[in-house]
Amino acid sequence: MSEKHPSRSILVIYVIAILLGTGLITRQAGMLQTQKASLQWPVVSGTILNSELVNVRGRRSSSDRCDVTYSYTVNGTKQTSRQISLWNPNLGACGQITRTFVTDHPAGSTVGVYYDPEHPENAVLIPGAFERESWLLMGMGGFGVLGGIGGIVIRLRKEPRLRALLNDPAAEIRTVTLNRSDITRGIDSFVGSFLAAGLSGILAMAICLPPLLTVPPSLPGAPVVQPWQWSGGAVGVAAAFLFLRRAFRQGRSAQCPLCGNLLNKTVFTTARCKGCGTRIRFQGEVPDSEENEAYQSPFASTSQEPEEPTPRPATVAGFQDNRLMDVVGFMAFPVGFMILLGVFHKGIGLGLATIFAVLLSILGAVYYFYPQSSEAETKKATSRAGGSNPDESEGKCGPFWVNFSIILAPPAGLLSYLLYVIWLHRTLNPHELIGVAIGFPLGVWGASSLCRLRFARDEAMKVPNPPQFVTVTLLALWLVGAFFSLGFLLICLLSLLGGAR
Amino acid sequence: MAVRLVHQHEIGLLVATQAIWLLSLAYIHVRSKRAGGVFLETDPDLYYGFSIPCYIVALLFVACFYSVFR
Repeated sequence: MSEKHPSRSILVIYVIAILLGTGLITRQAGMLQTQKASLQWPVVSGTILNSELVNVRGRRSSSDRCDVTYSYTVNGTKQTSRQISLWNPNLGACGQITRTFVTDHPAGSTVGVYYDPEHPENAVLIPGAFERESWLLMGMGGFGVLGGIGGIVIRLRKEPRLRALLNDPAAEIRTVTLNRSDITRGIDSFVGSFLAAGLSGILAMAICLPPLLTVPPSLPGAPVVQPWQWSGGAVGVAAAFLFLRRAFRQGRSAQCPLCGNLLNKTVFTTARCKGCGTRIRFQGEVPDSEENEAYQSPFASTSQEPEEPTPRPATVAGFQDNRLMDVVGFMAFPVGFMILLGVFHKGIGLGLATIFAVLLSILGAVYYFYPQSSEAETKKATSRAGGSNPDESEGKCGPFWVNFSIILAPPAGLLSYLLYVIWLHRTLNPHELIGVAIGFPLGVWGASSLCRLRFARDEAMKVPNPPQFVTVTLLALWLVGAFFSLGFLLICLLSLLGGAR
Repeated sequence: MAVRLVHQHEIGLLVATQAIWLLSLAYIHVRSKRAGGVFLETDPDLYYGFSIPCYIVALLFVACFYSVFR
């Protein structure tokens, strides 16, 4: 009998927290370094060309930003810029500071311009960094990393105990008796206190952070945190900790006494702890023996008879944690990707990233509730339950990774070269264009020939055919190859004629 | 987006996005292995088989645009 392993799905969340935290720290540290370097930039005299206060109206509120354009001369070259500082290029939503800046810098006035000696087009009127903001965000990142590491450590420390409980010979008949009302009360208290802790934390941040994170404190007129704001923030943080402590204390009555897993209300229907598989009997209730016999544990597949695969319904009703983990994990990465770009990349706003994240989440929900045709799953299940020779099972595909890699090698090679060119901030010259236009189809031809030889050899050796997508990819490679070579040739011709580039 | 990150020399973000993509493939692999070779009722090879070529070709198109016109 194979050893049972406890579910490690929760570790995915911790890993995501660590990755996001590390990304946040790296990003902020880089920004802080760049912003601080501006203090060492050389200064030249510049002239304000335009200076206006622009009111930006949102749906619920409005804020001001500066629309300032200034010019300056570096090494005889006249430059123009609109950037006021590196931490807030147009001093948007800085309250009185924004208005004062426009008043103090009218059109035609002279200003000191700090420019990057390596990229003179990059200049600011207010040098330096917003250290407080950067450190706060790095602290949040550190909190995420520490929380993730702590979670992994705690989970791994519980692992031997969970494994011992799951593989205990008496696991199937092991029973604990709990009070139904205790579990309900524990779950409700945990959820209520946890929400209260979150709200208190948000309230504390809403009171304290706005004055702290508007502008750097070194700027004249920067808002000062009032004593009542410090007190309110401290009370909010203290309340959050107290509620959190209360949540964990009161949640204990809803924990499995053997493994410490926090039970949820599905335990009333499954009557089993998800963490260690222990059967749960409710105090004062007569166990329904028939129901217990009918209940199938996920670990109780000791029968030697092949099981008939259960057809999946057209829609998923009820809670299926394994399916949920699949869908959440599947969607967490693209959603995380969008959020990462939205938060850290200047080109994509957080609004657009949120729209994409919501759309992807909806797609995930569709995945969850509307499973695909059960054909593939049924086929697999039949193959597993039947215990037949896998080579004999219908639809068995041969190995494909080598062929697949050969097919993808030409586009991957071309991509690497183009990325190198992009990294150097230059464009392809006519010779390179001709080289790519000829070299890429040659690479495609070489890959196709190699694949044809391998397919012929596999056929002679009676190796099963590769999956259909391998041949589809090969076909796509020919199309892409033809498209790119023709495109490059056309661009090259236009370039030589002096028209396009 | 990856091409843009290369162009702007944003290595940290570039590595993070690529790591996220690889992690998603690894996640599908691990979960499907645990579920006996099926991920969301589909053979996991299909996810790799479509996502990897699509990703490379999409990058190739954008990289061409950057390396020829910008």
